Amino acid sequence: MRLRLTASAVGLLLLVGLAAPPAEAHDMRQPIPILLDRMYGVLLLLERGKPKEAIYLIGTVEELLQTKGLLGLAQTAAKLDQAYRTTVADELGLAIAARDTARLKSVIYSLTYLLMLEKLDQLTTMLPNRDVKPETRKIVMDLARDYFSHIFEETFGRRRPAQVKTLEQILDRMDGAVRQQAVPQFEQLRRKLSQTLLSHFAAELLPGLPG
Amino acid sequence: MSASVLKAPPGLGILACLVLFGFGELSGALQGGYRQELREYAIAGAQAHPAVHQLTGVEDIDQVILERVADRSLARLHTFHLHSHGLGLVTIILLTILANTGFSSRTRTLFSLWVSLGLLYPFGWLMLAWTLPSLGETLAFQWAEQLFFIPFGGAYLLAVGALIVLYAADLIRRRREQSTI
Repeated sequence: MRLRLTASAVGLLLLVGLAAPPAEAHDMRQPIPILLDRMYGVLLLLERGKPKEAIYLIGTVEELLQTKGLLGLAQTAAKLDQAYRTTVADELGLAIAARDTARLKSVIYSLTYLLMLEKLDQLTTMLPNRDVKPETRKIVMDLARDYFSHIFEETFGRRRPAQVKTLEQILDRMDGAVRQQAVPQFEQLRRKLSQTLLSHFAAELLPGLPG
Repeated sequence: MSASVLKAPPGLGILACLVLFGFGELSGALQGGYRQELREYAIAGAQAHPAVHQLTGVEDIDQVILERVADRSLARLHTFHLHSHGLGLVTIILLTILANTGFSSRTRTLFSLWVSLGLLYPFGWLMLAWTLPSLGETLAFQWAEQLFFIPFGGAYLLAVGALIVLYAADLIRRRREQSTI
């Protein structure tokens, strides 16, 4: 009887613990893109040592996104590879074939970084153009930040708080530069962000990513 | 004005209010039953005008922009739903007040027509919901403002203001007449 009660209590506590959001959950500034949401899901499964489930999820992401007329994970990787001369799509294929957890994680982190870079490149084009609405610029900057928050900050916030904090501060300053349309300041911060991110997470990212 | 001798407002005025209620109900039913279709319609409309919405060609950025257009278009439709009900109800009350004032028959008719014109004002929100995906928020609002909000909303506000003044003057006149008798 006592054993049953204890088991129930432990079960209840576990349920509460799993249901509650993480204490340091970050507010997203824009609605989370499906791709980012699923990338986070894949990463969570990998963190819990479930590569089979993670690979299955990658497959469902492809189907879901394609039915919505959006690019899947592999297509996104291929598109980014073309733009930045990287090999993330190949790495993704190899990691899936080998069921290599560490490599899959690297692919997710690298994709996140490239997706951030893609947004920052858009801002580089938009910032000098006075016709672009401040609201549009804000959406793009928010998305770049959301990619960082949802993947890097969520994963490394507790393990490497100082490094994450440094990057957050750079992103805060970039936010300000975007609001003020300060092009030189933005470009300087953008370079700093890339350098810092690539050096802090060199072990987690694929080699040869652009700065 | 006592309840036992309360005069009914003009039939055509009531009919106009009922028609507006009907449109309001219809828009509510559409929002409830075809929300996803309305969103997709707004998104398709916005996709057809990439320059208006500053679409970038980057999928996830555009996704956020398009979702926002759909949200705003639906929000305007919701405002139409609310305003058509609210204005219909307020107009019935105003027409009833008008029917029971001591104004001349001609003044009452003119005022009733003037107030009833305001019933067209909520259609500005409907137009805004419809044109926002193709024109963008700023231009769509300007059109709705020029065609509906300023002429009909303005007319309604003026009518209410004039009715307050005339009603108060009529009340004072009647009190004076009563006191002299």
